[in-house]
Amino acid sequence: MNLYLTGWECNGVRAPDMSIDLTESGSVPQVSLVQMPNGTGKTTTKELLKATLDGSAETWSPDHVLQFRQTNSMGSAGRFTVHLSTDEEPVSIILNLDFEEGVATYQTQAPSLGGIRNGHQPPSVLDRFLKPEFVGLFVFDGELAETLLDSNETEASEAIDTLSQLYLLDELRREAEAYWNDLASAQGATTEQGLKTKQNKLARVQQRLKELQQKKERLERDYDDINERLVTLNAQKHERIGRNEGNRQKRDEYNEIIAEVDNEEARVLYETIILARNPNTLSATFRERLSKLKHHLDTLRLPESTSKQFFTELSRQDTCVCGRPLDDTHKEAVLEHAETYLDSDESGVINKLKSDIDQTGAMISDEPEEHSFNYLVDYLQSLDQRRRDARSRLESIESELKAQGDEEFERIVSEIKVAENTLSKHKKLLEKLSLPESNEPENEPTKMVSIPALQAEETKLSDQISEITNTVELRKKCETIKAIAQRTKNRVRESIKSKILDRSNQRLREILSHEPILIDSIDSSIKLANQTGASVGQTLAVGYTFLMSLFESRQNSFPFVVDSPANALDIPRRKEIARFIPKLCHQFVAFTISTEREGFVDPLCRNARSINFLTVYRNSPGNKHLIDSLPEDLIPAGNQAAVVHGEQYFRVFDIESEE
Amino acid sequence: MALEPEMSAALQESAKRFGQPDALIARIEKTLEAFQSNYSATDKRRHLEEVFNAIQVPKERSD
Repeated sequence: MNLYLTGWECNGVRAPDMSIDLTESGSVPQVSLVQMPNGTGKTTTKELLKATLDGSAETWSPDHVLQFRQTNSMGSAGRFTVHLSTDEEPVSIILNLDFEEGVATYQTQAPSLGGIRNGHQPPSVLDRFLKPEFVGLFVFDGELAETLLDSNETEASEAIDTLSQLYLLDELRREAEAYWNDLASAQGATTEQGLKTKQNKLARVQQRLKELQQKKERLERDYDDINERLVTLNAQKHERIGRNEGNRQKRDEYNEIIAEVDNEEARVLYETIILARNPNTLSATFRERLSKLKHHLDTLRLPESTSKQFFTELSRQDTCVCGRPLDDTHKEAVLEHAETYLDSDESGVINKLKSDIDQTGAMISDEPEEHSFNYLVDYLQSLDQRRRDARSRLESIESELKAQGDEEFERIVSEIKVAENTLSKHKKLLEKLSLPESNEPENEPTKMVSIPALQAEETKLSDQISEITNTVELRKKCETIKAIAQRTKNRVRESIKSKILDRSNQRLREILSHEPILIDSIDSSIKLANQTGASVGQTLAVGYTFLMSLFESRQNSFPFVVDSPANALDIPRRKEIARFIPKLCHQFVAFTISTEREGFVDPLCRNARSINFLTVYRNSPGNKHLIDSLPEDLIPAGNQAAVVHGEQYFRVFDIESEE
Repeated sequence: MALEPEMSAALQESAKRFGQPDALIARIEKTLEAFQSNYSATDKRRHLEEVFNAIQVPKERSD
């Protein structure tokens, strides 16, 4: 990207009003020399040029804004416009100064912006460069030259970083980190430590799961074996009871009773549960209170939102819903009384409640006694009693056999008891092992007892580990990108510093051949070889050579704008600097005074591809002889400055300072 | 807009140093060019995603 300064305009500010056009026949000459005697507003112009480009004026205090008001003027506003051109389009930035409010505002104009926009909004290609820290590099002043050599400052290093686009690598690092952050925050745990913790827990879960599954298999196997043994033992027990005919008959009778009771109990239990769902059946008190509740509810009404239309349409019918004919009097009565029966929407719920109370109440009142809830509960209790009696009698037979000294029978019964106890314990343990996931009381895997809970935990941890593994890998990728960006930045910086150092020293040897001064190194600032300080001329020469070497051969080129470029230099140095300037930048704009011409202008003319000359001075009484000699179209009015293009006028103009 | 030649050279050297393939270098260059041209946030993110996809992470020994 090549940026050119094509001109500026100022109105109503401390410098005289002027319109400067640096172009010639539509193109921008490589060198523009703007000769302005001291007192013409050179410093003001340069300050406003900088502020317009870098967007810093919006932060100015009211006093700072007022410093730019015309002396002895009560003008309420001033304006400074900078015209630029990129390879793609013209861009204008306007700085508006409101002296009454003490406020500075901007406007920006470019085709890509769709015309004029409020604010300092350069097109994106310029945006990152039109900042104070960067504009200060190409709108140059003596202070920058000193700062470049100041070991407490970092301007030299920052200049290299900015112009070499090293900010792109910083942006890559920032964006990579932001990208990773976005992904990682969506995935939860992020660290290798987090991964290790989850992996350890998963190992414990899997170990515990393995143990419990083995235990379950063992219990199930034992359960089956004991169950089988129990069947055999019961058969043996029955066989021994059956050896006595009387006992056998009794045993069969009691077993039959128990079987009957079991069947009947299942049937009655089902019927009882159904009845238990109706509160009317549970208790007479419930029934009585529900009935009272119903009577205390409002008289029947209809929800207005859904029922009003019914009455309206009924009033248009010739026959009522009851079949009787409706005349006009009846129809009017329907409409008139409809309001009495309409209520809020909640009335629908109340109507439903009343209807349900009626229905459930009606159900119970028609039920025969043997189907009432209380009757069924009593019946269930009697069934249970019957079964207990039968069992008790069976046990009596067993007791009798034991009392008769049947040791084998006693052994069988004893073994059955042990087996049943063991089965019961196994059953409880198996139930515990199969507890639903939500009933697992422990969090620590080694203490967990539920296989489903451990299986769920295993799945959950495996999923998490999978996510974390991906996140950890992403982190490694992010770190690698950042490391590549940082290493690249360091290498580019060192490479460019080395090149700039070589170029700058080569030029300094030529420019300062009589009192050689060389750059030793470029770190955060420029360090001179074998000396700590430098004269004003030496400092300027070092600053020029450094910046020009920096600007040389970069992808982005900027105009180099300098105030009094040769003033502090002696004639030989001026010649050398002037010889180099055209080689080092694509546009050089200098504010000069007449005394700088010697030793500077001629070498510039010989080396520049194209050069234009402007002479600017105030329309003041002291300059009346100059104004009077101008062609009519160049004669300025009021506070306007005289702006004269041309080499001849430039060379003979001999005012160093406005009176 | 192309990158500064020094930047391209240093990027290649650095990526190789970290054992990365040529494909990654090309992706990073495209991403830097997107930054340089002030692409939209979405486009920048798309380029970055491609960089993450192209980068190779050395596998660690499981033991």
